[in-house]
Amino acid sequence: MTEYILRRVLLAIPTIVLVIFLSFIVMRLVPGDLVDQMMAERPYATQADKDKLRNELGLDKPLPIQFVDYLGNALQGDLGVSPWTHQPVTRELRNRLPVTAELGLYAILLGLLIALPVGVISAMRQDTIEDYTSRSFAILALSVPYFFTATLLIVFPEKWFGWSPPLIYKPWTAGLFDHLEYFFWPALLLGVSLAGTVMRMTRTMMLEVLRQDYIRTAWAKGLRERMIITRHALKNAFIPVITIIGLQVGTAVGGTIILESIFNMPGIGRYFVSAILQRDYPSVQGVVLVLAVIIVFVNLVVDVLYGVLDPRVRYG
Amino acid sequence: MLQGAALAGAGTATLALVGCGDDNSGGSTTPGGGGSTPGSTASAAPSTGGGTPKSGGHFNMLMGGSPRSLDPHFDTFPYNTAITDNTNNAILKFSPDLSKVTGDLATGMPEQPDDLTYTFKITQGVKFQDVDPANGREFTSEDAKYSITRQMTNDAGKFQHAYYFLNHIDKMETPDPYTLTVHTTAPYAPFISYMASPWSVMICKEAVDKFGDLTEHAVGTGPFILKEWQKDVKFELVKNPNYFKKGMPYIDQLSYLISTDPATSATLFINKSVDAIIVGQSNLQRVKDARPEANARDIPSQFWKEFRMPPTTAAQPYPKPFDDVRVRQAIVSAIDKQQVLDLVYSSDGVPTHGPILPIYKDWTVKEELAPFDLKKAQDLMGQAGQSAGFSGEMIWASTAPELDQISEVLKQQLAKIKVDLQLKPMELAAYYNQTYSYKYTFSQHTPLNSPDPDENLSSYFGKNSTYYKHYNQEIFDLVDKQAQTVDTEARKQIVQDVQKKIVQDYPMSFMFTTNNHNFTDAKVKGWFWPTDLYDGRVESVWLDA
Repeated sequence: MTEYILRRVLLAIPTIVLVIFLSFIVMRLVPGDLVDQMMAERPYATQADKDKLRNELGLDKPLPIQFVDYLGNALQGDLGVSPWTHQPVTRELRNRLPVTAELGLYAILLGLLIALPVGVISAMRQDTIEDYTSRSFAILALSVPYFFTATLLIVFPEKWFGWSPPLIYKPWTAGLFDHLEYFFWPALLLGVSLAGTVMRMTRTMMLEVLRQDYIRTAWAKGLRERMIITRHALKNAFIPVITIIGLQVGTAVGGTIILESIFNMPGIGRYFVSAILQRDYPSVQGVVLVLAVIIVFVNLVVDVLYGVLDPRVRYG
Repeated sequence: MLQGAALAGAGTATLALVGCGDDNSGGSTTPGGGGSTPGSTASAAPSTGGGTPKSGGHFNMLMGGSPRSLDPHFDTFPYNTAITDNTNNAILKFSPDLSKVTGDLATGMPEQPDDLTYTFKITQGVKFQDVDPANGREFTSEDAKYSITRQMTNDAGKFQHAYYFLNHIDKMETPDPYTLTVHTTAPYAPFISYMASPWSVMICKEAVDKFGDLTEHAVGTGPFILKEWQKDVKFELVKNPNYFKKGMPYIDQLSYLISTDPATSATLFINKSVDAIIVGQSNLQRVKDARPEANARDIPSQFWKEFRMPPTTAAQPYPKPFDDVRVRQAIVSAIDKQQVLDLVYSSDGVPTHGPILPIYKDWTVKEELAPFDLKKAQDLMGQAGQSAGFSGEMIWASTAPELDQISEVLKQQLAKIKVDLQLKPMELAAYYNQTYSYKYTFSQHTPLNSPDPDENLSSYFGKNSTYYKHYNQEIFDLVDKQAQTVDTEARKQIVQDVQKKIVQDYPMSFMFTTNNHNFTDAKVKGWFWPTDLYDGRVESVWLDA
């Protein structure tokens, strides 16, 4: 196991370097560069001013040298300084990442809390009203975008009942209840959106497992339904579901970008959007790097979990 | 100055002062003459409150975006001045309707013994805030000299307003702690306006020495002390107990809640989480219905819309067929700007007639010099030998659906003179890249207007302009001349002349500006949103609650 994890970590390094490289190149290939955009705010800027700025930002160096410089600094924990705000990217990410991570975590947890029981019940009551209702819910969760439901949540309850979800960020220091209440609504919206996929996968896998011989044997032995479902069926149905959950970390991060704007959350998503629009190369690369590390790490955890759930899986 | 369509909606975040007549100015000047109610579409101005101001309370404002920096000299983002205008003072200041300039840190307007000399008398006893590193020391003329000198820093990486003073100030003298004399290199008409700009506030040298820059530190003489900046969330400021304007500020605490989503922002005003907001058209009726008792007023935005034809320089003259002025005139005449405004913005705005917006009523061109006239446009195309028409690509930054709709309406309008616009919406940075390389046929642009006419003329139509290029020596000369004419009345005439010259050279269609919809809670007195979106001063506000 240890050797397997070590090997996966080593394999993750070129993956992350490749991601950094791609984000580095893509940001510079899209039309419109950082210097043009910065100079658009400055009247009477001359070509000499542009050249000077390009030099100050190190953008006049050949791309390979820029990349190696960036990589070398990143390895030392220095992700550069935003040319717009003059703030270190590392510090900005350190301040914002916990908010995004917390939202993503709550969303996934709430999504699982909804998806797993509903998926299991749907499979066990196949072709009943419960099943149809659950499947309709899944389709709805998948097809209605969370930014739409978020806007509805903000506008209509206020109009009808004079109530709106908390819209002003509450850190832990403001009180645990206020903090959790603030995160609850965006996490629920994102969680419901994520739940659709997990619910459908859970149902499908449960249906498949429930038809297996060992389940029939369990029934024949007279085991109780709860025992059959939790110990024999769900555990075996869960491996592909775990994979989907791992993949949904990326989706959850994407979801936070919009929800952070709607719910005024000081997370990485708002920072990322602003950085892309402003061609803030260090900030974009910093965010991509952090997200890549998180997603690689989550996938590693998912792979390790396979072995925990199914002893037949070997890390050879 | 900040450019671009990206901030077309940025007016949703600005703040300022409505004068309560409490400033201690010893006089005022009228850079643009009189007038107090800007904007032809503005409804009756709400009362900002009679009666005796009450002390205490917490004033919450909504800010539609996050400031990038608290350094007033080295960043131009609009939201920045919401904070620095309250933590710092300038030597002079505009009245909220931009009709007058009065003293802020200065006791009044400067003495001007000649066209090159300005002597400011600094109010005695003004103290920096009692926070580290200023620690409540007195503000003197040396501080003013230091601030202005720093503002002239010409660093490529800074988005500064160095051009306000750089190469225009010959020398500064401080014969005593309360006198600052500025000698300009030549007669320089915008000087007074620029001294009153929100970007020209006075800073504390010790803060620069200690922190290196002021990106996250705002220390000044202003009415409020910055206590907390929680990025993308809020600012918290508290009353400066040693503020030099007696009795001010009235409120104890000032907060800015940052909210970028329009629906969320409107909800925050509706549920009374904030006391002051600017809302866009999409949430206007919702806010009006929910808060009928709130003070409301429409103020035309400083961001406005224009339809440009190819930029020109000495080395890059008009390409055919634009080299024929009749073609450019035909295109301008074929554009029905009122129809564009009606269709895209439900008439919620004000047509413009030239490079200076109607909110600057003493500088703007009041009559339409290039009116919509389709028959004339068709005739002109025929006279220019362009009856068969031609096609050209039109670029714009597709940052809002309304901008896309404007392009669609323009395409239909110009089709009537057989000019086929090939629409090319662009991502903002890509648009900047192309528009500031001055290589395009048509462009729909959202520029910014500023209080001094020179900012709206020199940087767009002057010989060193960079926001746009229109090569016309006669216009260059007039633009220079207005900047050198210190006599206000004479300058007004030149500004009128140069605008007429520009409009009738048909480089573009000056279309319209849309309204910002400004609200305050009924308890808010002594202040309403100002005309200038950069003016963030709220020292006069008090709460009748």
